[in-house]
Amino acid sequence: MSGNEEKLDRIAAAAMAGEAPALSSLMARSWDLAFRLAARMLGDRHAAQDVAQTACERVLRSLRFLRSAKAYSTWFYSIVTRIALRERMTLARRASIELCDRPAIVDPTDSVAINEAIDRLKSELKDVVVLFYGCDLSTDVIARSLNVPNGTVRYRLHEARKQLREMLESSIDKESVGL
Amino acid sequence: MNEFDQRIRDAVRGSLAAYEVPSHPQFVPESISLHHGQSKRWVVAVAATVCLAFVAAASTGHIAVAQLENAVTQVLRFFEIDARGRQYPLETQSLSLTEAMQTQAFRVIAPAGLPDGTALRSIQRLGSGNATTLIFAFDRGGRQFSIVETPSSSQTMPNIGYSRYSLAPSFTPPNDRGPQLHGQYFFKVQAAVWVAGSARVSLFAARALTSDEVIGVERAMSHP
Repeated sequence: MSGNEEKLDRIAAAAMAGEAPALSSLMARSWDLAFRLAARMLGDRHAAQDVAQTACERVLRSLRFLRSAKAYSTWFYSIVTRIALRERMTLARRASIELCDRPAIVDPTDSVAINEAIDRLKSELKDVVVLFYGCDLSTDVIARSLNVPNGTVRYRLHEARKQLREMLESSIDKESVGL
Repeated sequence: MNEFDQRIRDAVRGSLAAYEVPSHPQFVPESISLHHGQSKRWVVAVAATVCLAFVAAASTGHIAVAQLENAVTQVLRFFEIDARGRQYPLETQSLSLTEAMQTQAFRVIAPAGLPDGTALRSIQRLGSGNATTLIFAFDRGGRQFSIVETPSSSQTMPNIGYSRYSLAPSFTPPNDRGPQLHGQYFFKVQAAVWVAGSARVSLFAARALTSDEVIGVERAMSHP
């Protein structure tokens, strides 16, 4: 778990202990994290804002049910993920955005290129990559968030790594032959 | 973590950090009581019902509401919610317009971002029950504008709704943060107030609707 998540859990503990300023701080930080994660998963700012709002509202309603503040960040990411997945289904039905329309890879060593390669993955693979690498969640927690078996998450992670390698190496090959 | 994994991690983390995050909603905690296991009951104040004198408007098939300022009363409905999420009505409180404007709970129907000096002049209600649409007429410096709230189908937050922020032609909006369509500004509003004993947390936010959402709202309002 990163320092940011540990700090978030500490603020959650203070909020659950009844400190009003801590709750405000928790909501502000949670809003920030929720928006970033949802925006990365959905690629749509408006949708990400809706997800963040709904997630924060749900946290406010359900925080008292959380058994331990140490689990806050994991619990929170799970909430955001579930809401974002539902939002994605809504967006897909509306076909109002193009979820995977990204330019081709130019520089495979650049993080921009890696992110573009990630965006070209199927959404089920991309979600696992973002949650595993971006949020430092364990495969077990990701499995619960996505409501799939742990083995499925491990397979998707393996498959995502494999496809990313292929895409990035393919770009290197193209560059080396002048394509 | 090997070098390849580390590159992916750095790239994903970098992309998350790169987003420009919009302002978060205004969270207004007064005093909080969230100890685990302390209380199984949670009280929610829902400011969604407006008691007014009704005047039938047969031409539209809707119920129009007399815009008598003195008759405007805001009703707060208090519920207890058990562990399974069932609501139990506790009490009903009626407030005058002045009191309603002063209470925290009234924020649930006032979108964020209204300019200073804005005064509520009247409230209209169209329809009834879950299909109720509320129209709040405001005045600022002698210029009129109104907000229309149409409830969404959300079961979790009864006071979530779409608001249409329509402006008089000469009115200058406080900040240009949404699409201007036919001289009207549209906002989506999410708002709620939680009250448990003396503790109260209110949350409200507004953002401009997307073009698709505007079309959806317009269709819903033209075919109620």
